[in-house]
Amino acid sequence: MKMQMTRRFVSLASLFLGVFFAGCNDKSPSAPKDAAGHYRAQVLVFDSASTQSDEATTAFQVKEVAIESLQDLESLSGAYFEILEGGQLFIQDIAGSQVQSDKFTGGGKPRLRYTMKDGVIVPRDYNTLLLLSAYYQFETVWRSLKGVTGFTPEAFLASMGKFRIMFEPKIRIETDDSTLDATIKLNAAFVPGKQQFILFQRSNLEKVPLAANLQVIAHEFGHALFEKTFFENKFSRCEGEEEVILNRTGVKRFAQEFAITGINEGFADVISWGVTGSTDILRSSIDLGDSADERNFASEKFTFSSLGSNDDEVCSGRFYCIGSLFARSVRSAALGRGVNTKVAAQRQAVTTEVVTAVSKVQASLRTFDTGLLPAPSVDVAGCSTPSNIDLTYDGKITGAFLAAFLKNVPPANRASYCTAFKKTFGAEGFPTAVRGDCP
Amino acid sequence: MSRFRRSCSCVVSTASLALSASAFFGVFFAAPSAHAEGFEAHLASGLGLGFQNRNEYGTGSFSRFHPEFVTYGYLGGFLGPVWLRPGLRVAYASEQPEMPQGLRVEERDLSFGGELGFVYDWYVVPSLALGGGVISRQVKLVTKGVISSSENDISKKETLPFLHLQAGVGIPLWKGFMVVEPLYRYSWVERDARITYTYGLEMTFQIL
Repeated sequence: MKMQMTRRFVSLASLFLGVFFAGCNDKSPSAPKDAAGHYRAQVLVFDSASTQSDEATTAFQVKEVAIESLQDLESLSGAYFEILEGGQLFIQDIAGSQVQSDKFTGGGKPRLRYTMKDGVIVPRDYNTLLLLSAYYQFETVWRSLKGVTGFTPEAFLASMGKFRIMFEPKIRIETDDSTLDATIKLNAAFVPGKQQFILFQRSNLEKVPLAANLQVIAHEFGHALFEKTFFENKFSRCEGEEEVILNRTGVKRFAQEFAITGINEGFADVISWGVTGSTDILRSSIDLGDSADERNFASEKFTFSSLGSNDDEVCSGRFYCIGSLFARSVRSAALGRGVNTKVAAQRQAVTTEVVTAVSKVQASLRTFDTGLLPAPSVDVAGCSTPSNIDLTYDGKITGAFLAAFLKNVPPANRASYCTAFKKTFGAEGFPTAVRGDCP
Repeated sequence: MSRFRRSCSCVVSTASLALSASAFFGVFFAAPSAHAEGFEAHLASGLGLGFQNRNEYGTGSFSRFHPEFVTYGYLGGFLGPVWLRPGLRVAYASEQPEMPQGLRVEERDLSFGGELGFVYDWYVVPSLALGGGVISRQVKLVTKGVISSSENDISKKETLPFLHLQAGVGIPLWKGFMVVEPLYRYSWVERDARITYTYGLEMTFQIL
């Protein structure tokens, strides 16, 4: 009897297991492309109409869109970028949304779970909604590239290569003295020199997820553009004092400068504004303390001179504050010469002008003597970025940058930029000595 | 008398036990056990408090509180110290992983499962069980603030079959009136490979 029962159990269990495992998997149905050859999916989308009446108002929708550049859904990979989920990123330094990293291990195909409805990919969980939405934001930026920067996507791809997007990787922070496993949230970042973006782990302090916020993704893309333009696609970090001392106008010196790091952030905000029309880059996702107010470059909460107190009540964002001043100046100059910045074509003409000018700034800086561009500070020469502003020194750096920038904007627009720079940067950040190109 | 569950003076018919213990496995074992010499049967019920591990956050994970109501039948006397233990489980899990305030996809799982296990009647009671069932999942897209969701099909109900393999070690107390059992369960859920293992503690009380 026992034997008979055991046999019956084994045979039934085998049948049960066989039937189950034959169909047990996490595979979603295959997703067909539409007639135009595009995947269609329900994702989070920035409502571009929301900024047409007010540049500080934003709205988002979950809706169906075509994802045009996506070639392989299962690996979220397209011609211009691909998303890797997980893995471990080794970070040496973080400066705002610019990360120094020399190694990434692991990471794999995104784990997508979806159903199909009338040919449309419908996410079955948050992770999938976020992954598809993140891809769509990058694609939206890419589609805006020509209008916002003047570069065609093909030309940009040819010069920069395909980008990798790390989605929620584990983080290991490595310094000379220690190694630390960390969880970083409330940030998205770009890794200069590596063609990598990082979408850090989600947080319940976010409102609109950073990873799916077009404003944020466009900002991060702005850092890639700064690498291509200002750094002339030759970004590298210094590893020894001599490199900086001997090359006063070299990339490695500027990569360490507090003020240039700030202008990089401001440039990224300008790109985000060009794509979305919003000056209020952060508020829709993070509205903690005064950070969103400080980043809204339509406000005039502080000037360069007021940063000198190192008082967090003036601006707590360190080099971001310099960036906000730069972005504010660009917009203010545009408004000053009658540009309707709520109209995408007019606004994007401004951003294209800025991109063109920034791409020639370093060449102009190379012609500056020490009267216009001082020798590197002790910190910078020592290959480190200062943690706080030095009004006198950093004012000379911003002054040099702005002077070089002025040389490369259309002469007819210089007066508007000069007026804006004088107002926001004052004599400390835009010294009289560098105003030679102002009418 | 078994070491871990006291003999019960009640007469429990195998048919009623099968119905109350497990519609699937119970029926299968009802017939042979009815003729077994020295057959004993008991029923126990209680709560399981566990945490279900789900892959989230890249290569990280999320431990979700996973309480369940469990009922076991104990059928013995015909396999020496080995007892059959068909069981029924009902579990509910509503805890959500960390998500932004403005955009969330919340999943609430009500699961129904049946299993057949073996326990070894000793000073502690090791157990091994294979089970299956379905998860009735409610998926809900929640948007807030500046995000609206005019058109989406994300919110829906899903039914997901699953299989699990469970191992535990029961600690009988008060002559088996109560059994405390730390357990580890590995699950295979159709169309949801995120769910992997559950660990926790069951407390069951003999009721028959």
